Amino acid sequence: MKMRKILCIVLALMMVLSLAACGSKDGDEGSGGEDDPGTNTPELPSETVTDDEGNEVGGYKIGFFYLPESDGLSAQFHRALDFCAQITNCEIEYYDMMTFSAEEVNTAVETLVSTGCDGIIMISGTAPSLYEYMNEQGVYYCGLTRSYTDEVAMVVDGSEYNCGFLDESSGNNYELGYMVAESIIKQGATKIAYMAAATGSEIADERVRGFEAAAADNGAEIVTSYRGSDYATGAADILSTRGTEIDGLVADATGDAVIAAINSAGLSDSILYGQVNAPSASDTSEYLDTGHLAATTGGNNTYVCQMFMQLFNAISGADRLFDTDPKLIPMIPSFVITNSQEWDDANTYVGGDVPGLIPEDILALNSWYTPDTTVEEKEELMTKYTTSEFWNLENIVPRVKEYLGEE
Amino acid sequence: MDTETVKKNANRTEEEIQEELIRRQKRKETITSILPVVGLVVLVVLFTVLTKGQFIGMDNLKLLVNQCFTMCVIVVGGAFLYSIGGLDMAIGAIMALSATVLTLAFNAGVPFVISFLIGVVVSVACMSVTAFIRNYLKVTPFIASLCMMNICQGLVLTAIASTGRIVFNYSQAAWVDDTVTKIITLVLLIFVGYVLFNYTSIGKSLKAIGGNATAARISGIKVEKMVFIAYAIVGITIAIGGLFTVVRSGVADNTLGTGLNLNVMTAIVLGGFPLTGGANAKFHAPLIGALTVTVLTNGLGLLGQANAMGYAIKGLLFIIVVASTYEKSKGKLIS
Repeated sequence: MKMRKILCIVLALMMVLSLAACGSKDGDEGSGGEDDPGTNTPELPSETVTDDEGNEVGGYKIGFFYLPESDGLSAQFHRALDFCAQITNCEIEYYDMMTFSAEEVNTAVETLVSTGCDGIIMISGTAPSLYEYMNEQGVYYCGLTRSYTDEVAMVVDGSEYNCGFLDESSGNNYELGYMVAESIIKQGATKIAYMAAATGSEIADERVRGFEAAAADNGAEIVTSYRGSDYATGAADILSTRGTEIDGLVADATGDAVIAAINSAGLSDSILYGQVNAPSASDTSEYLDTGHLAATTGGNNTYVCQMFMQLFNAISGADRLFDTDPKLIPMIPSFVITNSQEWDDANTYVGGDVPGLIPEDILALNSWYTPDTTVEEKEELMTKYTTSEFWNLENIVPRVKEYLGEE
Repeated sequence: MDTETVKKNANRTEEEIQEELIRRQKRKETITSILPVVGLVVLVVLFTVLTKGQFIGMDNLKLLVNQCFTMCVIVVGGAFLYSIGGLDMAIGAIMALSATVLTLAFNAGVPFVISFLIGVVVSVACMSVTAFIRNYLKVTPFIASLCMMNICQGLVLTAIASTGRIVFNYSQAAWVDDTVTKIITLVLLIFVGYVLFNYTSIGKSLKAIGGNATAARISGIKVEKMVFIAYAIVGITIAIGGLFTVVRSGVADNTLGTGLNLNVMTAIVLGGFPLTGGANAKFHAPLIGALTVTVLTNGLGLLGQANAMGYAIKGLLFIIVVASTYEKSKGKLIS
């Protein structure tokens, strides 16, 4: 009994101490990922920018919820947003998610609103009630079209707080699938199999169309396919039944389960493997070097900068881009990577401290910073960023190197 | 027992020893029932002070209602299940399945009430299967619930396979997500649950089964029937929780109900409800626990603390409370 009393008292003390230690939340926000050297702080604009009423533009709080920074893509998102925040004198409020369940998304958004965010980047969120809540609270939001259901449209269309939805079906997924498949075909694959999420998933269907088109255009044969969510099992099935027939495999997968399956089957020397989503932040370079991975994609973090600027424009009262319902915004795509050098370049000059776009690229989208261009010109500029002519490593790396002062 | 206690007891009468044992037991029960309430009050005061009153502002109180609603609804039914020591890992998956079926029906044009009742039937049926396995196949209910969890997850994945999710017709049922609707629903549920648990033979029988199933059987309680009733009650509350959750989230997908099992267990434990059930099971305990979990998450969020810290603190509290209150004399924690 004494022991239990002591434990109860310790419990109460721990609760009090742990909560009292919470205190100020300053200092940690926007500090970047674990591997962020933090050496490339962008220069703030030399002159203060003001709006028509003489108020200084900036100083807003933008909320962002995603996985913790231990996730590679999350760390890249953090760096990209920190960069945008620094050049616009804003602050990012981060909320770490453990899962992407609807309940947790709701809690994330509600918490960010409670902490005084002026706008929220909605990486996920299909609850109409959530958008109603943000409308009521006067919080701006920008999302992705995966969240733009018919029910959500009824709530957000016409709302002044709706800053638009990045159009994930604007062709990018088709191009990604096409480029990855084309890459392994050009490396010698003639009989390929593909794996993707279940039929009906918009992103997966587009990528599969890309796989099929690449095969048709480049004279390769699609031998078999798998549509489902269990890529490890799907890969094992394909490799055990048709592994000796195929010399190429493309997958709309995440992680390195398929690479592991190919290794287990002893077919890593005979099958060229392309995966749309990079297997992992730490091992992809090695996979590319050793040939376990023949093609993947990178540069899929910068689109959060577009979402940031849509919010920044709205909150600052600047001209809004793509402001006609449905507010669909072309999305900066990923690009194909076929070797470790390209992967390292992508990580450094697109996923690093500078998100592939330099300050003048980003600020050119805001009419307070660039009053001499029209809305249409700004929209053309943002659209230009999303084209493969602009958004490729050959163009991005020299520009970012020059900005960083590297040779 | 040490030498001093033995010597002390030797000079006392049996009645004195009995009285002291009863006093100790009452003190323990008092502490067990008061401590969670004190903890909750302390948390509320602490967060109110640290957030300069924002925590108890009207906006945040509405958020608290929204955030704790589903858990409170389910723990109302969970009290009946846990009073017989029925640890269940399928609650989240069954809620997902119930919500998915309900959504399919509603989207197909079935009237709202009928769609809801279909969801209830699905949920109660799933829980009944677990009860059947427990009663007649004599499988540990924890294991049976794990199997049911996998079955339900598989069914949900099959139902949403073509699109990855099913969008709920929110515009036709937006009133369900209203704060007033939720408060009324919760108050009614708590009232009905309280009466059933404390003033009917159902509650008393379930606590007796949780205390000692053999003794309960010998004393005339139809154990299997009562177990079915307990599972059916929690099935009903799961369906209600599923309805409100799918309306709030806007879609039925395989992430619905994620984390609910652990949150319900944490709520049960933090409220001082014994995991093995029995006579010490108090109806209000899981509700206090559910509020504590929600207050903790909400308060930490307002203070700008990482969500991960909330998980860590909840896990730590869970271990400490279980370790300090678990009745070791009963043997296994999971029956």
